[in-house]
Amino acid sequence: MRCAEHCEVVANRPVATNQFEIEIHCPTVALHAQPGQFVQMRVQSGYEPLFSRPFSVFRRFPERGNFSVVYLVRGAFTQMLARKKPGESVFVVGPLGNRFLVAQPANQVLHLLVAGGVGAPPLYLLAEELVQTGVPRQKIVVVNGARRQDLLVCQEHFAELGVRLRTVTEDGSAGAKGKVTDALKALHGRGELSGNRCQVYTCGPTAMLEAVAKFAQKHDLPCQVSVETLMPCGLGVCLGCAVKVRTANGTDYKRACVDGPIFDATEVVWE
Amino acid sequence: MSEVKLSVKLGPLRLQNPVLVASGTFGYGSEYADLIDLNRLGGIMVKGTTLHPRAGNPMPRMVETAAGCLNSIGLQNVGVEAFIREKLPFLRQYRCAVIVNIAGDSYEEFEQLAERLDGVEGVHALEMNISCPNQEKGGIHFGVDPEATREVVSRVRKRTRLPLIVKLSPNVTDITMTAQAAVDGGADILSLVNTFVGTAIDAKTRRFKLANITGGLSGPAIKPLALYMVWRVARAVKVPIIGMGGIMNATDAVEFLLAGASAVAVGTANYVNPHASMEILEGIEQYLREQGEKDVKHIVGTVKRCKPGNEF
Ligand SMILES: Cc1cc2nc3c(=O)[nH]c(=O)nc-3n(C[C@H](O)[C@H](O)[C@H](O)COP(=O)(O)OP(=O)(O)OC[C@H]3O[C@@H](n4cnc5c(N)ncnc54)[C@H](O)[C@@H]3O)c2cc1C
Ligand SMILES: Cc1cc2nc3c(=O)[nH]c(=O)nc-3n(C[C@H](O)[C@H](O)[C@H](O)COP(=O)(O)O)c2cc1C
Ligand code: FES
Repeated sequence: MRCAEHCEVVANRPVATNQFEIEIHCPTVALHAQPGQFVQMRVQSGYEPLFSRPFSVFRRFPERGNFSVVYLVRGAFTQMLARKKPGESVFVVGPLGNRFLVAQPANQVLHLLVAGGVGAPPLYLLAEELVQTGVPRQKIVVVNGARRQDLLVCQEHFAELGVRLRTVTEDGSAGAKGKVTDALKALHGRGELSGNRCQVYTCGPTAMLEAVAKFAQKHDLPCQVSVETLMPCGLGVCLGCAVKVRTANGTDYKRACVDGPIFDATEVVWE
Repeated sequence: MSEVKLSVKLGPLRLQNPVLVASGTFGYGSEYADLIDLNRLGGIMVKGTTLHPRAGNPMPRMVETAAGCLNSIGLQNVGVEAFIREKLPFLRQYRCAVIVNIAGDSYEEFEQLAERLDGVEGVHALEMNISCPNQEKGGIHFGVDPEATREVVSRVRKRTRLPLIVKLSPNVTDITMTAQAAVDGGADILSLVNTFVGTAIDAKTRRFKLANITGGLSGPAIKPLALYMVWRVARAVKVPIIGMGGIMNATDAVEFLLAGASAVAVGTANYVNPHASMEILEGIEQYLREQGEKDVKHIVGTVKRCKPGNEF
């Protein structure tokens, strides 16, 4: 089930430097969005920018028919979005794309969620689902990383869930100093990843995804990555969101918007 | 309220209304089936189809520009056999016309595609994308050379009984010459325009933004250029025209009809708003009512000179 409709903004509040959480009334997305899925949003009536923009679903409030996304103000679209007030409208298409697949049997697997910056929101939705479906909290490890403390996303939400949270910042302003891969190495060094069946799920900047994918491959851990590309249509028709993947006889292109955004890390050809 | 007649006849091709969706912007229809009622479309021009499957160009293949976008997808598609086997059965369920957009690297490829699709149930017309390189002539696009255009069209004409649409390239000095060549070759209908060749550069990194360097420009940025070409071609040839290029709303569509197009195709707008084609159809109907017109064909090509003193 998905929709393409004008929806009312319920709230739009700053959550960190240059970051906002926008809550939108859209029963279809609120009821049907799965962890890792996204929506295409549009607020401009003119042609600057021309295309809608993709954002991962962060929280769902099915009883109120609302969902929210967390966004970083980057360019023209997100600047316009930041000015939207409750009562105004946003055009929403979604939910779109595939979802993170929970490794089974879920309560016997160590779920390792690796987030970078605004890659955190879909992983929060996944963590919430894992908790709600009865996966023990000590089996859910979240590595949440950013360049600085004020760029960390979803910290208090992960904390509230009571999952095992490892925070890393590149400048050391919060948690351990370093990158998410340093935190992964530390976990591995303490033997926390061996002896366990472990599944990695990751979302963040492309360079980070690649580093996490390489770490996972080196240690033989299955890993799902959520990729970021330009998404002109989000519906699988323009082929502008192609991701190079390995196939039995070479390589091929898949569409990040419908075949993804979640891919098995071993499938992706990093360029 | 009196009925407005929306059905149109483009030579041998009948459409229930003049709103089509352009090739490469609507996939194979199924991608939009849960968002709009495909039965209400005049027709679907499916993604450019080649003899064999194609993987397409490296990324990045698309970039936003001022009021438009450049694409260098490279005709990524499943190939004609998989199209017939996997995509067409779905489209047969609907009553809109299915127009297969075909592209080849050589005269033979175009001939084989036409032959393969002739008589296939559920295919209502062929649209030839001649904005592709002709390997037999050193890679010069068929569509920029009137002689190659006439030749490729006449060869395809001999291999198919289907209504034949030729999609013109705008990347020419005088589009009426290739338009006339396509008609001489046996085109029943002309569609125009395809995308304009362009490029984009990132000043900060000093690199091209597209892996392929060049791409085709589409979207609102090209509308005035496309509209002009439709108007010129409509006056130069007698066959009906499907107009496209930057149509975002019903007013844009009406302008193309006034310029001389008998039908329109909605392209890039489908990405921006999945309901665009439906809103355009409803808007055309409303426009005709407001103008007191009973039949859409009555406004085709009726644009008049501007009246001095009436600029504002
Ligand atoms: C599936 C998916 C889910 C996403 N989820 C979220 C989310 O939950 N929250 C969120 O804040 N963003 C998310 N994004 C990214 C978001 O779509 C972009 O930030 C947005 O398109 C920026 O639009 P803009 O017009 O504001 O900026 P633009 O004008 O498009 O870009 C401004 C500048 O930022 C750079 N830029 C744009 N996008 C990115 C990017 N993704 N990574 C690095 N640099 C970039 C551009 O090169 C440019 O220099 C997601 C992207 C995808 C594909
Ligand atoms: C991403 C993309 C892919 C396209 N693919 C094709 C194609 O396969 N065959 C074709 O004849 N035209 C193709 N086109 C051109 C469109 O059908 C249309 O002629 C052009 O985009 C102008 O219309 P618009 O400005 O409304 O988009 C494509 C356009 C875009 C943007
Ligand atoms: S965004 Fe258009 S095909 Fe994926």
